[in-house]
Amino acid sequence: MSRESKGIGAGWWFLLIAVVLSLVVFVFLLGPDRAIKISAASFLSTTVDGLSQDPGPHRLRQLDLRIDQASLDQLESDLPWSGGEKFPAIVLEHGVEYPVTFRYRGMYSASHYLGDKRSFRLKLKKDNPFAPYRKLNVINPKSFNMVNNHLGIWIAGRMGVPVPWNEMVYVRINDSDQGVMEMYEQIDGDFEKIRGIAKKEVPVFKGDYAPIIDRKLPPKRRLWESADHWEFVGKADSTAAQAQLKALISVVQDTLRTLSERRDTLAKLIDVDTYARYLAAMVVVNTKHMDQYHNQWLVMNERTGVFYPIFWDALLMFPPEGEPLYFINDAIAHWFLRIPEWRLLRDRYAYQALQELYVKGEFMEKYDHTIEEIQPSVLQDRKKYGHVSLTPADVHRFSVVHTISSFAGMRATVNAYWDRLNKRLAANDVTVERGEKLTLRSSSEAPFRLTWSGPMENAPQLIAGRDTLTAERKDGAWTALVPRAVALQEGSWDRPNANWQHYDVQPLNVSIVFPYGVPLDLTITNAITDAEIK
Amino acid sequence: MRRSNKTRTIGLKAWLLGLLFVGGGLFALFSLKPADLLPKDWPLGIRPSEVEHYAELFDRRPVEMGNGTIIEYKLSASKSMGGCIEEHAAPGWVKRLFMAPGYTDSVEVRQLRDRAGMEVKFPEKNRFNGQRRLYLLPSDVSDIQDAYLELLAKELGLITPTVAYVHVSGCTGSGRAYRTEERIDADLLERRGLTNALRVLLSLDPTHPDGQFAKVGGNEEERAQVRGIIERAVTDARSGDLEPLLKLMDHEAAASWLIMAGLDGRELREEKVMFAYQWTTGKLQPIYCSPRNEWQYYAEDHAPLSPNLLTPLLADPDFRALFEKKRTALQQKIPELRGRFATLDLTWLPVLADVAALPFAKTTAMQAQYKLLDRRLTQENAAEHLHRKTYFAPGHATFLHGMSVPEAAAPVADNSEVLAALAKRYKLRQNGDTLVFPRGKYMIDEDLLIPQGIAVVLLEGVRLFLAKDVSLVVRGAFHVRGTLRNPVFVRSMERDAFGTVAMLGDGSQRCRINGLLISGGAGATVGGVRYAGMVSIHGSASSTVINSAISMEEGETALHIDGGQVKLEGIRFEGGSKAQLIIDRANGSVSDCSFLERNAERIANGVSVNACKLAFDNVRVTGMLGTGISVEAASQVLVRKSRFERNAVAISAADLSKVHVEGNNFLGNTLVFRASHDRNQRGGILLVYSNEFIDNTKERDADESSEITNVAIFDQKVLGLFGIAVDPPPSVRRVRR
Repeated sequence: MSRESKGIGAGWWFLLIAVVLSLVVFVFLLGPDRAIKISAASFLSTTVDGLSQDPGPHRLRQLDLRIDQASLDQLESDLPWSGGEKFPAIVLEHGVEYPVTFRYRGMYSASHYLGDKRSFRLKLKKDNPFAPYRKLNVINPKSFNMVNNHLGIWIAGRMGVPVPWNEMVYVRINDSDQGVMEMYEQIDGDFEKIRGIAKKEVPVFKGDYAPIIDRKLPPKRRLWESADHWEFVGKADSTAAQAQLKALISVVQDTLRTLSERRDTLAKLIDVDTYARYLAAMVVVNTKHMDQYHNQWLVMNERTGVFYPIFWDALLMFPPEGEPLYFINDAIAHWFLRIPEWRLLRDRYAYQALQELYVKGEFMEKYDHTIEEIQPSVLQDRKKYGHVSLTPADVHRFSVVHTISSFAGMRATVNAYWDRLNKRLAANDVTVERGEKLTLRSSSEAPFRLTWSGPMENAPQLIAGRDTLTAERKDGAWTALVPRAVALQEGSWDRPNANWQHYDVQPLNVSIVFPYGVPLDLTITNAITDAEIK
Repeated sequence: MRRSNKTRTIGLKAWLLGLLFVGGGLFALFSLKPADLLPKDWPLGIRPSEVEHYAELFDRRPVEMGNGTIIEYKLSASKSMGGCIEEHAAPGWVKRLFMAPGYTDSVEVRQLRDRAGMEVKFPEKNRFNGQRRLYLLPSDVSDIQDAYLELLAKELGLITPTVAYVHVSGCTGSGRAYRTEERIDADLLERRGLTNALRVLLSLDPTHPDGQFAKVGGNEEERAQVRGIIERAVTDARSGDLEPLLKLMDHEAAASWLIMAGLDGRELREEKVMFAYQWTTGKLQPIYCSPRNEWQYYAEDHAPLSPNLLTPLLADPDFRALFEKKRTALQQKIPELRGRFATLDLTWLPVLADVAALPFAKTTAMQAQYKLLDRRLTQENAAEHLHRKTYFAPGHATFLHGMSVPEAAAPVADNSEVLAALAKRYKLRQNGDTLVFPRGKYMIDEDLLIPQGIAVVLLEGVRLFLAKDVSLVVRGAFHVRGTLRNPVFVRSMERDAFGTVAMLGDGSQRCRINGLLISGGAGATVGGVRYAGMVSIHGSASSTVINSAISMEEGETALHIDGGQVKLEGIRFEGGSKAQLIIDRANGSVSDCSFLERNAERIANGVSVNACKLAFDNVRVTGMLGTGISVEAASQVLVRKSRFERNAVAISAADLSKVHVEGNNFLGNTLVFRASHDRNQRGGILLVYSNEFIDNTKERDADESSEITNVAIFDQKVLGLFGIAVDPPPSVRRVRR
């Protein structure tokens, strides 16, 4: 049997030429980088994604939504401006039809409304399959690996910071697969009630971009400039909370207070422990996505009468430039990070989290578990849409190859960053000279703790350079913190509302005088890690 | 090579042979395959439902069937919604007419949120088999596993909802198999003998912020208190200190629950766990409920859990040993369990499968048995699978700010200060950890709550006068040392009733009351604990009450004893709207006591006995409009040499209780013996030996689930069962030769 060889037909040649020509045109119009990224995403999603066969049952929860197709078309035809319009819909769960209100997400992120996997929000009745939650965002994931935000939120929550409920789901609308999306609790006054710690609504303020009016993007506003820039959500009584927010903003805006005065006033208005955890989570998650303008929440803890923040829209490994240790994301961080004991508290929380998440490998266990859970759904998802280039409008379909490489990239990035951060916090580059005075010189960033035994008496005062350190009694010994001085980078505007600033730790060169000479049993430890310096 | 264009006809013989080979092959495959062949493990993507259909045709093995009839429930179309149950797709309650054998009433039905199925709410005044609420969950043959799990849970002594299978039909008339499951609520706890218990619901999922704090029933004060105790225990356990957790948990029940969680293949994070918190003992006891779904990835899943009350216990060597011991004991019962599973198969498989599908159903059941008994029960690393890493749900550290959580360790010095203050205020004597009330008059106008671990002694001649609703609660050993000549008096200060004189122990202290004359109390709730009795003794290792008179006008009962060893002797009881004496979960004896009802309108019992082993000897029960001695909750009771006079019912037995009646006099009672089922349909047994009956209206009344049996000879071994010394046989003198 012989097979007659055939040449490539004219049709194929025509097609090939058309492809090359269109590529040339795209390169000309979009530039080579964008053109290649878009075409590669398109090519791979068309060719590779279809190869997956029988990926197995979903391990993610499935969200089955029914909505009148005409209403859906109407909303889609006017996106992003139709983002505020609501239509009735039904969530189907175990054969029960739960009535909900549906609306698409509009501005500001293009990935919410461009592409064919659009973010939306559901408002549910009390009796619903996601109870006690009643307002849910269902978001097109922002990264190729789809779980970037989910894991960022997980890390912050793990560190004791309040976060919204966040779960990956597989979505179907009118029996048509939408694919993997991220379900995200929309916060309101029920935040504490949902968590079982309050019986009624609590005051909650939302710090975000101003609402869109008349299809125009409003100008950006700095949240900590005025209490009016915060939106009160919920039905709780806002009188006391509004007054407290105004007081907080006046403390933040007032640049003339002394450090101790500012510390004592802030401590009455904010939950210092939670803020320290929140800022520590920001360092560990390595994100700058909560800033002067958006992604901030304040909840009034009515048991203690102070505000605490919520970690929102985390974006794991979305770092500020240069990965500074003391990055100032907003006006409150500007002051918080100046206070040595609060900065130390933040660093200790960050270090403690790294020991569990990085050193003990708990994050990678979670990471692998998340990949296992999401895998069958990602393989079935033929609507993976995301930003394929840095241009915001480039929301296109991407491939499972992007997802896999993004998972690998994220693993490497997280490990490398945490390794650097861990070493940085644990670094003890210090020289110690003992004589009549104790002299400490250090180029690393951690503060030091001095501990020595001694009889119970009035707290000893140590002279450290031009400062006085007051020792505290702890576990039967005296202890004093040698803080590190921090300074804004050169040329920075030293104001709380300035954008994208950070503090640098200054080298240490200090001589410390003890009341009765340097104690013989004096131990010096890294105040962040508690490791003794030999 | 070319094929011939000529068509070949296939003859009849070839057709027959083909059918024979294929049909015979399928018959052989389905009818002769080993019964434990996995119904789910078929290759090439063959679905179990396809296999089931083939099995209906080709599996011809004989299957034994039980004789029971299938119970049918019918739910009518709703007037308000207009729909049939088959089309019920809307959330919320819908009124329907519910029909079952012996029951028809209007009920409310709603679809469940967390799984397919319905919840049925019956009218308060017309409960269905004693239940207010019931789950109906659509079932198939694989659900037979839930019946096995219920049996295993009961075998391990756990409280668990009763499971049964029924057919439920709506408008179409064709019934579908459903599993009925009791809802875990206060009623269920009460039916299982856990009165005065709070329900606590806990999630083991650290990814859900909403489940991070225990949901506790009761009032706000009780909630805050129990939640604080739980928070303390789980936080300390996470930091390595298991002491508070070990103290809080009922070890036997916790170990049993963990064994069940290892057997049922649950996804630990998905299934919330219900506990009962008993105020009287301060212990939490898990309630077992079979999981909603079997977790497909169970075997390889070691995902961390939230800090909880159960899995961290496995870090304690003694607890781990208990867990292994109970597991080994259960393993040794495997042959017996197989037999009991087979009985369940006989009863339930015909409900779950059509007659034609019974062989396949049997195969599925065998597989479920194999999985439970041969694979999971014998699995070696069960404890490791359950003992996982834990971390708190998001934001936990923040939410604790401002929350009331008890101190890490109980302050030691506090008691001495409180003690000194009490001694000074009431002019008491303080002997170490004991407060002594010397002879004298004491006016107490606010609740006197003695700190935990402090013993209280009332000496002879003490006269306590308690103001309206005021109580004395002792949380340590309690001694009343009155005498016949110089008794201890407790009275109300004014006309209004005081609360209670109570002892709340932790199971290790003793209560001894001698020569107490008390009246004028009504019972009270103090610190979240309900003390139903004017005198209440909860959680005492042993309670002895001798030569006393306890009479009340208001309130439920004169004396309530919950738990421990009991000895009551020479007491005169009077009054109580429920019963003059209530004894729960105790062993011991009641002798030489009298129970007298003077109020001709009060329908109350003389004695109510629940989950006890008690001997009544020489008691006198007179004039009860309820029952003289009412025995319930699987109690075992001996009544001998006693006198029952003019009672509506002299002795009754229900709910798997057994009463031996010997040597008594029954005079002028309306009914002497009643054996009947309770609302759980469980009857009682009365064994009647030689007694004297005079002028009673009716001697016995027993329903179909109970029995009253005459026994000619009283076996002396019965006395031994109740710890009563058997009279030695008369000695015979031997004449020396």
